[in-house]
Amino acid sequence: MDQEILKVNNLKTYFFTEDEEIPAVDGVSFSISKGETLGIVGESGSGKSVTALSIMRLLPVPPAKIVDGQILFRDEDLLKKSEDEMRNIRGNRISMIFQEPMTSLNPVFTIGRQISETLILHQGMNNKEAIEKSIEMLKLVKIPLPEKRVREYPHQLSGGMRQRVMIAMALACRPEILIADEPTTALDVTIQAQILELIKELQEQLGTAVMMITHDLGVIAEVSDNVMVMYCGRALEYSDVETLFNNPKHPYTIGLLKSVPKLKGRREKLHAIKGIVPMPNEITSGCRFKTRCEQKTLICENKEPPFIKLGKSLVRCWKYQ
Amino acid sequence: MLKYAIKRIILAIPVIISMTIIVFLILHLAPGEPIDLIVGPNVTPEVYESIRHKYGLDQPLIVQYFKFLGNLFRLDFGDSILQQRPVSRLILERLPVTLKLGIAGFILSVIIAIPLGILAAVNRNTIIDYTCMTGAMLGMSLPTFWFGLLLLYFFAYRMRIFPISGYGTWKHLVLPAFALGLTDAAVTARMMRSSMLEVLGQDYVRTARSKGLAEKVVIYQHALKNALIPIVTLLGMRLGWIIGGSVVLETIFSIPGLGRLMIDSIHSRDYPVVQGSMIVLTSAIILGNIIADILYAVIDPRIKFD
Ligand SMILES: Nc1ncnc2c1ncn2[C@@H]1O[C@H](COP(=O)(O)OP(=O)(O)O)[C@@H](O)[C@H]1O
Ligand SMILES: [Mg+2]
Repeated sequence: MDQEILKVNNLKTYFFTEDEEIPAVDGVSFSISKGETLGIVGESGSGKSVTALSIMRLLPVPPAKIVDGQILFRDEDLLKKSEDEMRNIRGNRISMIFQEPMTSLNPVFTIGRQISETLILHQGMNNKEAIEKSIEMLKLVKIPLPEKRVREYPHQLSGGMRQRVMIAMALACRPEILIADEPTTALDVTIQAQILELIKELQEQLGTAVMMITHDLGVIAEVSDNVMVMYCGRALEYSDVETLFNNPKHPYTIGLLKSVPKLKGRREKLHAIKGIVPMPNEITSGCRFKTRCEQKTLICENKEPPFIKLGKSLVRCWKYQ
Repeated sequence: MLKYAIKRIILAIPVIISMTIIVFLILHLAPGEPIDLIVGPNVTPEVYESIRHKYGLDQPLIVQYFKFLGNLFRLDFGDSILQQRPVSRLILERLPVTLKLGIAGFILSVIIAIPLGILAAVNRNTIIDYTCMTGAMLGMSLPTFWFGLLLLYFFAYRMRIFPISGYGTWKHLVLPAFALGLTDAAVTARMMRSSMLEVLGQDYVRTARSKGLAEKVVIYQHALKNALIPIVTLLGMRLGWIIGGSVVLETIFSIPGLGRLMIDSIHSRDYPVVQGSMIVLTSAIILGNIIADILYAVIDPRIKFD
């Protein structure tokens, strides 16, 4: 279980536009072990997708540039790989699924063609084998009538079904890591639960490590082993899931948890974090969270806290100094 | 698929009927009686009336229209007033010339425009993009006739590679086909570029890349097929314009095509000929649109099931 397959060190991905430099991801480190699920949570704009796309090396260069850091996949730095080597990894050893199932599949190709494509490319199957395997994958993700579906086009499927197809496609080559970027955000609540259940089940069957990106703490609680809380390009807290929920440390994490409705116990007033996420280049000194933090002190204004180790958690807050 | 095609053709029927009404009305409501041309000014009212009767012009408009429509079904456009020959015969003589020129121009424009549009989109905001788009901008802003004259001046008059005017050999077709094709290509290339750019920003292109597909496959399979959808519509419509598009060029290059026939007969007020060629021209455009819609359904699987 403890075999680290992905280790990201001090990743910095910046966007360089005409008159601005946007540190979308600014020195983030984390690791994922075999079969484990790392949840990455944070409000919109905190740099979650950019982190994921940096690992896939799928960001458009320019404007994006990975200015520093390492992404060690099985001890090899993905940032040093050639484009050809990366292509061999994408969809094969590391796969990704996206937030928008409605638009993430190509409307003019059949489901079968889109799944079998990766199998032909990475596994050297011929067309017939690949289609058979595609049907098998559709069965695996519990799509009814897979023999029929394989010949259909994405518009003939519902959003939930399309996300299942995306999962089938991503897992077809049995990748070591599945990056799921808000896979359930665009879906109905009941479908959300089914999709999460499916990802968990397949993860156990195939031994895939999962990086689950979401802004929804409910999803995190459901699937994660470890959690990284991101805010404005930085990790603010990093711990195992029990510690995070039972004993949250960073004021931001505490705020996020308070804003989740609970059914157990007394119904308290929902507590929203005041203000909005600043642009990554807005805060140039001090703690990233200072503009919205209710426990801010003088030092928070001027000096950014380092990651402080507290038991099993890492937390970036001066409170714990 | 077949059902869709049939539906599409049925939908075109009202359009065709309106078209015949318009063509019919334009000429009958235009000032001046067509027969003035045949009879000349010094004719007795009796003779005048008998000629009017012979051409059916003394009957109510609605009767005339249905006769006109009935004749159309038999591809009978009447006789040319000037040449005293069936209009359909005249059109059939001229049509192949226009078709040859139009199709040559069309093919030329497609084989120039599509690769250039893709090239520009894939290399967006680079020197390649700017060069292609400046060229396209020029092609679009220069009128076809001006471009035709320019080609004539350089390649026919100065360099004497191609004949200045007339029709007969393939050499006669080269310059007008280029004049037609290049200006057309400009519009298509710009559209191809913007369509491709839009598609390249779509989620499914990112998905294709995330599968590890080579950039060539991403662009020429995943993106191109989607980007071609609006282009096919445009080209379908242009296909219809093959016949109408070369009117001006046929005049400049003295090519005896349908466009020339139409212009000449407008000048000489040879109404049956004008009517006949307008019907052929608009029918071609309607046909082009039908072909475009059917092609659209062939490449876009979402269409058939709507
Ligand atoms: N193509 C881009 N150009 C410039 N800035 C970008 C681009 N993509 C993302 N960003 C910036 O990166 C930041 C993080 O974005 P993202 O990773 O998408 O957030 P999220 O956590 O919601 O997934 C955003 O604040 C945004 O300003
Ligand atoms: Mg995102």
